[in-house]
Amino acid sequence: MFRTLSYVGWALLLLAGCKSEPVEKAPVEKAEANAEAKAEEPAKPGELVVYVGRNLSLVKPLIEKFEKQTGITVKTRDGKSAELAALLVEEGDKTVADVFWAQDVDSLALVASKGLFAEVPEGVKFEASKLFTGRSPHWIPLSGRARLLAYNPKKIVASDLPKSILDLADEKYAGQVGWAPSNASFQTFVTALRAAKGEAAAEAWLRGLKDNGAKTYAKNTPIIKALGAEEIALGLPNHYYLLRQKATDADFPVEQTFFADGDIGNLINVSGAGITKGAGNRANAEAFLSFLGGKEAQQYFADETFEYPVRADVKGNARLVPLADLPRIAPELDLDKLGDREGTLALLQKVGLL
Amino acid sequence: MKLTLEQLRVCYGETVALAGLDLEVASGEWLGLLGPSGSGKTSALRAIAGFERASGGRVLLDDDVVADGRTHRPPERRGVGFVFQEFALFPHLSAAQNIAFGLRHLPKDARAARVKRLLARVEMAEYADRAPSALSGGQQQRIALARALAPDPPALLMDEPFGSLDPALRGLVRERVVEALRAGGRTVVFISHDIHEAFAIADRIALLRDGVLQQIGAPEELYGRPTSAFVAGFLGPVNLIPGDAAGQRMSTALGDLRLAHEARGPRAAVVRPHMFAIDPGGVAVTVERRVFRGDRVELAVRSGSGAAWQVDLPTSSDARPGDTLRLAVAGAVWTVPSDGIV
Amino acid sequence: MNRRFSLRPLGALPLYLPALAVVATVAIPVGFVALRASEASWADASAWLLRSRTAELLFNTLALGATVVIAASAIAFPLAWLVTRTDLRGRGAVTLAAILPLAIPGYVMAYALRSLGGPLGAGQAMFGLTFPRLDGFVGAALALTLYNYPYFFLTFRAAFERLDPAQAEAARALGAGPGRVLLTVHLPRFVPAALAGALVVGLYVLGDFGVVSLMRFDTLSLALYASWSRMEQGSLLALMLIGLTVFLLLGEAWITARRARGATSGLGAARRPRPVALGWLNAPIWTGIAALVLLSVITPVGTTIHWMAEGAAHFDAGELAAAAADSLRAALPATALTVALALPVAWLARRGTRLARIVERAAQLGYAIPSLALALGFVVFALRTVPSIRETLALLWIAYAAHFLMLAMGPLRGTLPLLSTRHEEAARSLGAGPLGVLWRVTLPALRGALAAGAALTLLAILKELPLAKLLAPLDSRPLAVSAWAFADEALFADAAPYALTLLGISAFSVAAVLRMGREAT
Repeated sequence: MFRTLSYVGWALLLLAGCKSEPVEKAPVEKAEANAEAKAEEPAKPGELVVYVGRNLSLVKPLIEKFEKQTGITVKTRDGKSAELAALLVEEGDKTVADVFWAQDVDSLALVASKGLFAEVPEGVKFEASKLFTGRSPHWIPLSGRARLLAYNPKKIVASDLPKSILDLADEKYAGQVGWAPSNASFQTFVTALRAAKGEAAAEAWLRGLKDNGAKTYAKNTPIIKALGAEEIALGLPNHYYLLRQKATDADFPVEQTFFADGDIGNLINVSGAGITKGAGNRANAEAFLSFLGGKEAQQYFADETFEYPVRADVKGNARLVPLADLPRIAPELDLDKLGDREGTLALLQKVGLL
Repeated sequence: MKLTLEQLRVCYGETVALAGLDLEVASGEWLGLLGPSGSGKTSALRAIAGFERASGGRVLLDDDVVADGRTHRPPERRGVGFVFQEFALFPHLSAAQNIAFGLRHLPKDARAARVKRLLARVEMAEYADRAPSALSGGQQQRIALARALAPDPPALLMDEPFGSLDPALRGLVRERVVEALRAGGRTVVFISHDIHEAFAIADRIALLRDGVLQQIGAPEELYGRPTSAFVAGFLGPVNLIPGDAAGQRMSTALGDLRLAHEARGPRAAVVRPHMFAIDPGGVAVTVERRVFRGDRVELAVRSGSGAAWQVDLPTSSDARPGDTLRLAVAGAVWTVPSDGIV
Repeated sequence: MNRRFSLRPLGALPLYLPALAVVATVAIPVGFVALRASEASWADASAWLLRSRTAELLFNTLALGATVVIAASAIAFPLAWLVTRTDLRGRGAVTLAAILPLAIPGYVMAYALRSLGGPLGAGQAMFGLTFPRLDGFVGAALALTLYNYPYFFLTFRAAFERLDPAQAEAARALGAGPGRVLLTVHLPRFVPAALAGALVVGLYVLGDFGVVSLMRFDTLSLALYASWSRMEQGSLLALMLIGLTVFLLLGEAWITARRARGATSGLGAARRPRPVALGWLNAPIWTGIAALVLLSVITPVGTTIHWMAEGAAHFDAGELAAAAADSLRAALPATALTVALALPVAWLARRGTRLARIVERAAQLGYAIPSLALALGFVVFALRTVPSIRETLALLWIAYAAHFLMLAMGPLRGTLPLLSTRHEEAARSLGAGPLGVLWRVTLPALRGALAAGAALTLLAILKELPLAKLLAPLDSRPLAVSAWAFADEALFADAAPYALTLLGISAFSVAAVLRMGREAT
């Protein structure tokens, strides 16, 4: 008995030793230790570490182009934006990341709110369409993505389509709508809805749609697939998923459209990037952001990922509604208000969607 | 090799398996450990091998203290062979590889030669490459024995070495093993549940009960001159006939018996069933049951005073249940203290 | 007085160090989760945990877990009986087919099953049959059952092989028919195997993300992923999952403790009973097996090949090779480490000391901790203690070992009790020291079990996603991660070569490891 206890005691001691040591260190010492670790680790000239919160395969050609042009070696860690944001928060000032490239404002806002981004220097900033420009000094917009309505014409005639996203709670569409409450893009929309119409209206709409038998999917792609398989008639995706699907299968039996001009359902979200505070390769990071904001990269977003370029001087994809029309279509909204994901998650949980 | 146990104690938690055992086994001697289940004989054997720790007392191999309450020499450094009741052949090794296990110190050639010799000695040469699972019980037993003997240990401990063999095989295997082992002149301590087996092969027998040594001595001594009713009963069928001893004689329900030793007061005469004989001047008994045993006839009889005895008579006897016989004991009888006799 | 466990210092130390390392490794992420959960305000936390949605998620999770465990064992038990106790034709092929689903990533299985139904589904295209697309509870349960039943199959098969025919014969002699023998003699002997399988499968279902997300069935772990950016609440959910696990583990311990473990005195001559002659039943049984294989192996593999054909091979061979190399670099050393830890832990567990039980439970807990929590726990731990290992594979290896130790221990748990302590004693009386015993007797005798444990671990690691995504060094993108990244964007043609390579490597390494184990016996 005593023997066993003493072993457990040892185990606990061992653990305590492991866990308490770093906490007890004085802050100054800790900072020094960090600086040392930083200094001996990734700071080789010609390197850049990017946390890519977008699908890496879609943007890899762009990164390779940057490497070729500058001779800088780019190392990446990829995953979902929200995942990487949480990882950055946990890593704090010890992260090896120089740049965080996210596909939604919320993730950028989360990292910025923890004070982990440095300000983007003036030289890197560029003239972006007003639609995409937030006031945060900590990150720059890189591409635009519109929310809209996708539908299967076999299941619903065009004249029956709702004019506003708020109509989807109508009994007429019972059991016909597919959505993705756990998806970051959808959550950004809910944040916008709360900002535009107020907390109560947002809650009422979510409850309405839920009670209306809306089918829950994990994310945008399955919604598009489900539309094609006639599981549902209407879906709420981002604009580019269907375009990608049609690029490989032109006959795919799904169409998409915006709601009425100015409807909150036509929200324009942006992807963007910021430079971490402790970036060991600051110059390279700045070069990378400049590159992504440059004409070549912007054209890539338009042509290859079917997104909206954020520069007014870059031609958008012909398959898209012209950039010039977007200000008319999109709702009036302050992009900086889209940072409150906490509130949105709380609301979704309250309604029972998460 | 001489084995000595001094006040050896072995405990499992609160349970005392051996409560201070003193034992000395001379070099070359064969000692049989006997006793009912839980008497501590296995613990004693395992403590000698080093599988159990002594919680008190000492174990000496020759004059070497290998265990006392504080120190414990691990089994691999005691050089004592052990044969398990279940043989415990390594399932992943062939018969030959099992035997070679303890021969790592030998160069390869010498090892192979020795394995071959041992296989031949246990008459298992053609089974060298068999897996243990492909051997019969008797074959496994021989391999196990060869394995234990391979490093040529000066002492060999055997836990019921023949216990798991079927009776038909048992006698034959035992004879060969004993023959093979005797030739080496090594010390052997073995456990047996078979009293006749122990009588046949042991030089001396130690009888244990509840972790305490009851008696030790040559088989004849234990059988003929037991020191307690327990010993007398353990070693074979016996009639313990109470009486009052007065020097050389004792009066009992069987009449006035001549004693083989001086005794006084209440004692019990040790009368084995075969010691009875038909005697016209003897005590009258009634036959209650008869069992034919081939070489003898076993009778259950009852005396006029109500005492029940077991009696063996030659096969020629035609006594049947209901018959009346007159019985007496020829010669002097041994007695034990009568306490503990119901 | 207390000398029951005569652990010789020299022999015990090498066993205790890994055991303590395991406890510490599992304690790190659990501690992390508890720490973050404690940052939530109590009122907030209780309101959130006590809401009806949480109860619904809990119910969903438990219902799914129970269904999958029951369904998977119901498939596995007769299958194991068929390959061990009958003269079924092609038993080797059936065995292989029953293990193969282990190599299939859950999301591939779910995608494939879903692609069967619906007006555009494969069922329509191939047979003109339109049936509803699988989703929800039924879909999730089916997909999880189809690729988890091999765990049950493996434990049941091992149990059948150990079964002593004498007991069945005794029962028959006492007048019991084959049915009663199965129910009263065999089934009780399968309880430990069933518990072991249920633990692996049940805990897997608790933590599954891919399948339930594709099948649109809300469970606790799905909610955990969704609460990702609210760490306090995510941690509360994770704690809840861990609590659930502890509850399951205690249940298992309770059941096991109430049953005397079958005493086995040695390996002896394992007598093989005469196989049951199936006769005309061969045909219908094979039909059933074919249907199972069609669903569990051919559908997902066929789907992947179909994707591949669609994409007309425009993949980058160099990237594919790099991804394969990343997979092996992560998986092989991690598997070796896991098995190396499993042996002493399983060894201690057999000794039945209290510490041993603690260590065993720790290993089980490590398997049950949601991978996200595990990954973040290790990141924080590494950064606060040894920042230099953050960007090395070593961190990933350690995390894998903590997470998958239980899988590696499974077969050992089953086999170790068969290796009687008599064998160790025999070896020691022949002059082998404690380490010599380990090296010359225990390891070789356990080779089969070690190989099986290694195979299970390797498969699990090759398929694993969340840990690889967050803990792999920069620029390392194992096959599973690459395949998922494409599939996640519905770029199935691009995902296919990665998925197929993954399947190929998995099948190959498992075959190799199993052969290694078989040579021993």
